[in-house]
Amino acid sequence: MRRLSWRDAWLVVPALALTAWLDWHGLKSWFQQDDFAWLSLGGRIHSFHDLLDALFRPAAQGTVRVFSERASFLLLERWFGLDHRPFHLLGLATHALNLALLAWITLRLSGSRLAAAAAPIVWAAGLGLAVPLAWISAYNEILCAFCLLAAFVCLLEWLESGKPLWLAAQWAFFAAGFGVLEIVVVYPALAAAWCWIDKRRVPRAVWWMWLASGLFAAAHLWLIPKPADGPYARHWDPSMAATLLQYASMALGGNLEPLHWPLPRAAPSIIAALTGAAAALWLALAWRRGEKLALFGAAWFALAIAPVLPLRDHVSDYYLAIPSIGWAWVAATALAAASRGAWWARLAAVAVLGWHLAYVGAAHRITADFRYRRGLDARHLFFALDTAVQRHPGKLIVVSGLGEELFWAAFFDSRMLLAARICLDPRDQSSQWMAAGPAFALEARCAPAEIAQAARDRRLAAYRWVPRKLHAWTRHYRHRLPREWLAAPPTRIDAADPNAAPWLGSGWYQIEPGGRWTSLRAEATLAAPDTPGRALAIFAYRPLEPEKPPARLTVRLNGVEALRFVLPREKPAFAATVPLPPLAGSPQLRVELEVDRPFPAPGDARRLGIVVSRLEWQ
Amino acid sequence: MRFALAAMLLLSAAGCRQPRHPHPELIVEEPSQLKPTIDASAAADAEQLLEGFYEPDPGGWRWAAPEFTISLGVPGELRGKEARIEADLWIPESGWTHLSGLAIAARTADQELGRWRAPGPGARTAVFPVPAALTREEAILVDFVLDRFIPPAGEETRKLGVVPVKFRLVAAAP
Repeated sequence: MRRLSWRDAWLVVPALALTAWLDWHGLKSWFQQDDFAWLSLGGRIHSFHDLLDALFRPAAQGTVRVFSERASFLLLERWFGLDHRPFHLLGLATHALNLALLAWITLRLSGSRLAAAAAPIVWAAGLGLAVPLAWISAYNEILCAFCLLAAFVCLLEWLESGKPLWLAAQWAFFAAGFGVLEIVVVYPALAAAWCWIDKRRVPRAVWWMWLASGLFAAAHLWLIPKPADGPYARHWDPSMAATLLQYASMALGGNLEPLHWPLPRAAPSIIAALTGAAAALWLALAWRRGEKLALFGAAWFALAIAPVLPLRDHVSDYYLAIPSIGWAWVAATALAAASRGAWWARLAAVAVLGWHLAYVGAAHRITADFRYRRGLDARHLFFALDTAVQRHPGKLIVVSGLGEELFWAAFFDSRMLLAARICLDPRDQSSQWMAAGPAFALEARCAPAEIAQAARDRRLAAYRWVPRKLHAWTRHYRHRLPREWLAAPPTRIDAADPNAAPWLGSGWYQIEPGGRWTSLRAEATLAAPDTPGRALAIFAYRPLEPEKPPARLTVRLNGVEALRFVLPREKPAFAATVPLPPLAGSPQLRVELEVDRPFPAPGDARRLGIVVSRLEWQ
Repeated sequence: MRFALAAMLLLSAAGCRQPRHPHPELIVEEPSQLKPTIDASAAADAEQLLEGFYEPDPGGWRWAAPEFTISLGVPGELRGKEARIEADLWIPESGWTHLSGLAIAARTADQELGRWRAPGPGARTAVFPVPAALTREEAILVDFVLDRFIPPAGEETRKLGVVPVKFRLVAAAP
């Protein structure tokens, strides 16, 4: 095994230079998609319990990535706010460390400086790293690669020196990886694969790590609910082989047509097939020659991609970030072996590798540039919405003109950071794609009744997105509101508002300061919400009766009992929340409030129930 | 020493957090004050021509489609009072074969304002009464609907209505 010295630092310079060129724009990408959800974590922390919740409660498909998502976003957002640059600096610094570790391992295991310089180049050029370096939420891939490479370095040191400190360090990086990305479960398999390839024997200490991975995998599989359908549904069937082939094709030949690049237009499948054939030839030779690092590279690729193979409908280029380390070893060792061979072998290796790098590099750069442009749009939209919220506090902000791309990049999640209800116009032609999109996207649409209510209350602010700017058109929008929307029942009833009287049925007494008394039973009509997940909130009070047990309130929705609520003993005001069931086809929500016994008001002969100040769905 | 340096770095970093400032350059707000009189050929008034107006022709005038919408500000002296909208239009002689007997209906979101019939081609002023209930707001938005139009022919692919010149919201005749 060859040792790396500081003089070998130049080995990572070409890969870093390549990263600078390929990811120049990607590393300047603004926040997008899930980034906003993680950025909003800090705003929800008001106690130690909230902090624990923010750090450890499973989110985003049941993941708990404490270090790579929760802690990094919490800290950097707290220190730098919505400045994306520190996030990217962290990603770039981790990437540089990874390149150094990769060079270190390659030199150590191949003994070739050429391979040690080539492996980081091949990895850095690959499509798999384009998104993790550009999209901050995918930093987990870079940090997980660091945990795996660092643990593997410790394994090599331990195998050579036998010092327990290296074993402990390996365990530390491996264990930390569980808080980074679930893929780390494959590390014991990677370690065992190397031990077996190198010595045909796996030490007992490595087998113990299988236990940790097994426990983590079992907990993840059984404790965290998995979606039965949609892109994150798992398919444990022969489709996994096709998915593996798809990933191999993406890794070998790039995934995008290099449009606008000075390259011959060849189908990605042809490039992948040629590179794949060359790689297969080299692996066969490597098997005969005992080129351990090449064989380990193939094993690394297969093992590291294995956990995502059941995600048949969520094939993502950034899932290749970690497996591509294996491909980098295969390619780098092939180049090193060819350099020691005949001139035609050198020429063939350089030609194939150059061909591969040109196409994956193009795909990488196109992907990174796309993320950058999308980040620019996301930044414009977010700050435009933020400005609209600041200009119209308390208003309902209805947006139209957003396409699907920008909706997912910046609208859907960014609303978590904005202190207002912001939603899409349900009639907007540019959001018609939602009909075929995932059901939860519909949450981003305003209900017609909600818009009509805001228009009646003068709480409506309507904007159109014309690329890079929001244009207000509230007057015009209100003018075009369908009459049937305005005639529909409201989403909110202020009982003390005389205009709400048409929506109050039987059982209400006259308006008093702060609301209206109900009799023992009262009815009101609200608009039915058009999306699931809404709740009816009832804001009311009833004077305390210290000598009697608390009264009970029953709430019925469209005739079906939805809540039995015991009024609080300690304070007269209360708010009851009733989750709204699906009300398919019903345009109205008939609310019945029934109190089990009257409130005895001295000198008042009425049979009084509760004083309702407001009914609304939220 | 190292810890002190690290703490200083962290503290200085904590000071880098920028508050979220408004970005007025990313928003185009509606004009707070709308004009009660607008000129269809004036670029400054274009934001009150809401729908149904084609791009200006080289002469500066512009065609309207068979349906068009404008907004007019309600000046303080007209608030809550009866008013009328005067629309100066030009009806081309050349299109009169299609527009002969043209009637224009004006309406707001809730109410019909009336119907005006063109007596012939040339410069005309259509007048529509506005009830007091509609002048309580700061602005009034009006849709104009033509019952006939000049259909697309030859190189002209647009449906052409009339050429609006000026719109005015003025006090109702005493």
